[in-house]
Amino acid sequence: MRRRSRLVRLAKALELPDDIVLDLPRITMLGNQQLLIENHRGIIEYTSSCIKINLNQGCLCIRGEKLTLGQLQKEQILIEGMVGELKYDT
Amino acid sequence: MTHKISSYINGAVRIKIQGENQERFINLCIAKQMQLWGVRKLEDCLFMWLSLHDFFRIRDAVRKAKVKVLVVESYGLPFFLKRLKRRKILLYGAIVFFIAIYILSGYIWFVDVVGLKNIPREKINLMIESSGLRVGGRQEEIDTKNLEKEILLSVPEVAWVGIHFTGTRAVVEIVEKVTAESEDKSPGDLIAGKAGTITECINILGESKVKIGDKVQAGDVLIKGIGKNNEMIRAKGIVKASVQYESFGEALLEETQYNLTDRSKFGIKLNFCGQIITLNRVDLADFSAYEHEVIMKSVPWWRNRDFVVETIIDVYRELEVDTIVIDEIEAKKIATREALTENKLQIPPDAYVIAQNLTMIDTEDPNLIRVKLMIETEELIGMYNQYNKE
Repeated sequence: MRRRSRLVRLAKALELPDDIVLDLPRITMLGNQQLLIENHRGIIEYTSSCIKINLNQGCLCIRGEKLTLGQLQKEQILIEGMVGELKYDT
Repeated sequence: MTHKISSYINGAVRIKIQGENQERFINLCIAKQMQLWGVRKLEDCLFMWLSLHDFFRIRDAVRKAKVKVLVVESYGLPFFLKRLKRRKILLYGAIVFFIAIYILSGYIWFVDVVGLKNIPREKINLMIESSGLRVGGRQEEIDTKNLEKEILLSVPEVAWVGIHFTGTRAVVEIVEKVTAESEDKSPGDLIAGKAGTITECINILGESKVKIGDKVQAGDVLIKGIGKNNEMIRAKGIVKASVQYESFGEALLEETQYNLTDRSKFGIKLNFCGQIITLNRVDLADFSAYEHEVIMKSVPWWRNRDFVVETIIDVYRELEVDTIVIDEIEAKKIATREALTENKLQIPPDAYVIAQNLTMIDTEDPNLIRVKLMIETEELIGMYNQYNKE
């Protein structure tokens, strides 16, 4: 924890992006049609109405309709469909 | 876009995953650096696309996740080539097609001769055909430069000739020489084409029969075609006269106009062997005014020989009656415009307008405006006739 806060301070001082220094996921949303999650740790659950993705900070739960996985790679996941709700389960 | 192209070149398959641990299977694939797309869940089955190369690497993941895999669709060049290998005739057909296209494009399929006005087409066609430029001839066997020279030398009316090929079409472009029109020198008198008062008379050849201020009628001799020794010549000169044109124009102060509304009704009748059967009767009580059109539809004659059957459609379109009221000044303008249009049809374009006079004409109808337009012009009135021996 102390190491983490030290890292935060260092990142702020050197103006480095937090997602690189702290290994945080980057989540980009395009309206409610597309959701791009970078730096994930795999999929926990996938149905057309709910997707649970494993992240460093815990689990990201996406609820919506007609959810599909447009692109699936080691670094990123692209979710397409009607995204209704985005929730962190830490 | 690049992903689409690369997936087409490398080939891709759509697989169906059945089993409990579908998410584990996905994670195992991702861990092996595979790229998945179009992942969709339908009735407990997972469908996904992956490249053909990756498909051969999923065996471990399938075993570990204990799922069943089924290929449902394939896409890309490797599959196309595989199908092509099985259908050899199709492949040979395509090869033969391209070879045929290549060989046949070396021949001439159309010959166009353009730019001919006075030279007979047959003459040029005969010349080019004798040199090999004909439908079915080979393009490379034709020496276009020599043929151009040959046409240029043997047809004196040709000023320039160019032969070129556009695909399988040979185009022979010809530009003809422009020769000056030969002047008619046959003996004749210069006579008046219109009635008028002579304003200018310049006699070049022949004997002048009129002077300035004379009134002439159409057909009167202006310059007689007779020489100094009483020989017959073609009269020549410039004779101008002032000519009067008159025309009338009318306009109504109140005009009724019928405009179409968007309402229409259809009545349908059937003509069966001369007997008219009404299928749809039309009630026109709510149409104050309407236009009527009859459309007849019959089947082609070869199907209508024994039993004559045709449909008669009556189209009634409702008309709206509008009364347009215009003031006297506007009506006068319209009448003048009408009179002027009528006058302009008679006046030659090279005539010079000297005077223009507009007079109102009284009419018994108070709704009608009538005008009279007089235009006086100065113009050449001379024209030739055959020599008239007196």
